[in-house]
Amino acid sequence: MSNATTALNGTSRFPAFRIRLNVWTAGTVLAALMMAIPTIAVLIMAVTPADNIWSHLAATVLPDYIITTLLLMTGVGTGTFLIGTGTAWLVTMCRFPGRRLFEWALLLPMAIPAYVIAYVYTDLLEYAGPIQEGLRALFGWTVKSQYWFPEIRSLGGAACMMTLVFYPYVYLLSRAAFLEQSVCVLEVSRTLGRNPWKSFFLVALPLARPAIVIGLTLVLMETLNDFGTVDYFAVATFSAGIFDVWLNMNNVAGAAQLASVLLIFVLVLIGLERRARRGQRFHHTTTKYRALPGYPLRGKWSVLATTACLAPVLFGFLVPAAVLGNYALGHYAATLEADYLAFTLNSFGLSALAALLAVAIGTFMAYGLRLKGGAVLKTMTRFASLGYAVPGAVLAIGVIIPTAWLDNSVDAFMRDTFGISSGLLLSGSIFAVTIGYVVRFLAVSFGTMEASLGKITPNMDGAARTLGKGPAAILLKVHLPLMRSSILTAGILVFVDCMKELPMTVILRPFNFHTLATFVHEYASDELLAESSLAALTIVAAGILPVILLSRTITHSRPGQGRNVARTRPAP
Amino acid sequence: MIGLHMDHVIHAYEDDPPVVRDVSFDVKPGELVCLLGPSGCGKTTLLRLAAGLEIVQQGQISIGDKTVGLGETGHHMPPEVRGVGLMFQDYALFPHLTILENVTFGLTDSNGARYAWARDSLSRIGLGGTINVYPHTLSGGQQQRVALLRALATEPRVLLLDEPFSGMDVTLRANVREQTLTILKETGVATLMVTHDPEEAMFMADRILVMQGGRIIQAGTPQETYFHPANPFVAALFGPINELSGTVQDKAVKTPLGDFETPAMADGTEARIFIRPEGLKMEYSGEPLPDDAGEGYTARVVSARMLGRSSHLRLSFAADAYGTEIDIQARIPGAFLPASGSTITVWVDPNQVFVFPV
Repeated sequence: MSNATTALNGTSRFPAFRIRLNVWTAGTVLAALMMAIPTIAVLIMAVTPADNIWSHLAATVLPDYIITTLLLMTGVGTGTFLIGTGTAWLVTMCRFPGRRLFEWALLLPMAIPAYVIAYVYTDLLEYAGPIQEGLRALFGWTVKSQYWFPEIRSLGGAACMMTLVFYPYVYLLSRAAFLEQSVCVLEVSRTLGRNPWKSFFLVALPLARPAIVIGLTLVLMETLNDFGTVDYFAVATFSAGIFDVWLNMNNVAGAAQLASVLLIFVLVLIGLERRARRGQRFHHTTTKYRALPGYPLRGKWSVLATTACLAPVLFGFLVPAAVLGNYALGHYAATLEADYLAFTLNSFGLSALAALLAVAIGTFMAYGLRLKGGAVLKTMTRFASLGYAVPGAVLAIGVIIPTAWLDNSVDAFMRDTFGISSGLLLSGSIFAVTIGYVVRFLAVSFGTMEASLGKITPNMDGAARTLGKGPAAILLKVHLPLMRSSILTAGILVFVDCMKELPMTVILRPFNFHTLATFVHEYASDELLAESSLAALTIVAAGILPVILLSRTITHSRPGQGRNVARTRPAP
Repeated sequence: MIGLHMDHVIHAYEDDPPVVRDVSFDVKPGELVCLLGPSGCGKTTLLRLAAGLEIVQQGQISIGDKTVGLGETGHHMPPEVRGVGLMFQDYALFPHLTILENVTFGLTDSNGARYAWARDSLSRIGLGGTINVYPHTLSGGQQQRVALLRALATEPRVLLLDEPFSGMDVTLRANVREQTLTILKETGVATLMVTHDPEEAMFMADRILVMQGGRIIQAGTPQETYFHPANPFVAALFGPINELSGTVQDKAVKTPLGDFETPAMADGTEARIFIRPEGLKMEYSGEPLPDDAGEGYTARVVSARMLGRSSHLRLSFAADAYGTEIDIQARIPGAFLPASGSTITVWVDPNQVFVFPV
């Protein structure tokens, strides 16, 4: 039989393979590590004893930050839960005028960044705004003490603003969960003597719980991430605190320590989300799907349902978009004068670059994971994509620490060797902003690519391998063509997220460098919303892209009706 | 000359117990060998090991005169250079490529003659007019043949087929099976095919390797496997089977259906007797009583059901030595439907009876 000699011959004839396989694995590990550096840097900085202001923080602002943040999370969580699940149930299970329209229109508020909606409603609702002026004119009041009006620039106001633009996360996930539920389960509940209303609370809602929890954790992560709104409303949350300690007290270590406390919040949320995702698998009790019944609503009930679905769209999208549009028509010249084109170019360029990198790295990591699974690699890629959960302010600190260290090291080396200072190369550069974007939004591209690859049967790889193609050739010839639309989706999602991103951009951007987001933030903070409205409208317009993508897939999301089924698996 | 050779191969996934336990066999060029066994017996793993999609942990795998995997040294030749063709259960056609692009996917510019072969072969199987369409527009049988041609296009030394006919209905399956066999015999490739369908294995295979619990428990021609099963598992593999029990006395075991010789078993051994439903013959079926049938045995008809090409009978035999009724199932070709409760005379084809020690 074949002996050791042939075995050796075989080994020496194909030495490249092992190395090639390792390139994918090593590359994935390297990418994962790079992406994890900011998060790790924050943790290290926080536990480094030098410059410790823990006791000072704990004695002064920390309790305030914690309470305010928790209150904000409670408010936004409750609001988005009520609006998100309520509207999702209505559009999936009931029939009333406008239902089909609301199915996707309810996603529209996603297009508006929280800080933009905050500027718009402040403009509308403050003392000098049109609403209060109108009321004064109507009732003949002359001074503020004559009547009560809610203060928009408050904790409650911030919670309302965030609820209005974050509820689509809960809506999207709970709607998908309701759709996936078997109608049979609901019908069983009906035959067992429960009316539709009770069936919702006893069967549908508990079954959708994991999805709702995932939606809520996403909302709360966004809440923690928000900087623009809380800064504008002067609500002292963690994000605002980090900026305060960082910019006003000029204390990086203190900011990192605050950031690490914020990370604990995030870790709790991630834990919740993971548990919910695991739970999700056990909530499918049957594989039989039937057309949804669609309880027809009549009379006042249908009016009520239409109103309930219209209100979030009206206040979350139509009103702010109309206000911005109106301002833009009147003041576009001012925006153009303020170098709108340059900022737009900056925003598009940076976002496109980050999207390109995020998709490339995400694809590489997802493919590396597919080629050589294993718990270690899986954990590493998961950790690398944690950036999405980490608030921008925290990540920004995490980017600054290593880049500053690198700059200082290079500078010291240059001084010692050549006697010249290289100064700051990376800190406060476009490079730093891009890295920040990629780290924060890698999860979006990695997740999309991983899901897309998961839909391609491993047999496809096996067939291509036995037909003589190596891993790189398979990626190019089989996977990438099959994943084209997912790549585009991932790119658009990252691109738009980058366009809207504010806190990281504010901290990491080069001096005097503006994107649309920082420009709007700066102008609106100076009560110049009208003058920056065109820029804000541009961000909103970009934000519509993912809404279109989502609404296109939304009608095809019922199990067994997926459009990709036929494409990835040939029909018999 | 050897196509595929496996020598003492052992394989386990993660920390689970091994799914392949010490398997050795070879497939010669032009030979078609079937791995037959229930799901989870390790047959698909063997296929993946041969293709190089799994790395062999212990033992040796050779293709032609080259060692492609050696557990002891960790030597592993990747699938793309092994020269194997692999056809999956779901065909795994590339949905974004046309039929012709699928078939020629594995070809490099150097083997231009094979491009012509691909076109010719597609025409020969009746797909000449559809070489530029996408796989999802083809029927299951057409997809199967495209997948087969794709695997053969690179002129592999070894062809591996994983449940190649599982997705088809009965009529189509019979057709495609025939065609596949013709194509394979023309190319003269060494073929290893995995199936859990004994009929399919018997139709296709030159040799059948029956697998159970990660081991090959019997290897032989279809006839050997069917008529000389090595143990009760193999005997029961070819469909439902009647089982009786008894004790060996005077080199034979007595049953209500006759005495069966057991030359290899000592007197007093407890024995299990297996009788194939198709091994029962009866008076009504119109065949004359063979000389060696003895006098035949009387049975009462419990039920008779028409199955199409054959009839299924449940028979009850008068009390045996222990005083219990014995229930026997029989399968008779054609329509044979005696009334329930009627009495018929039955005898047994000794070739369809297998006796094993308990």
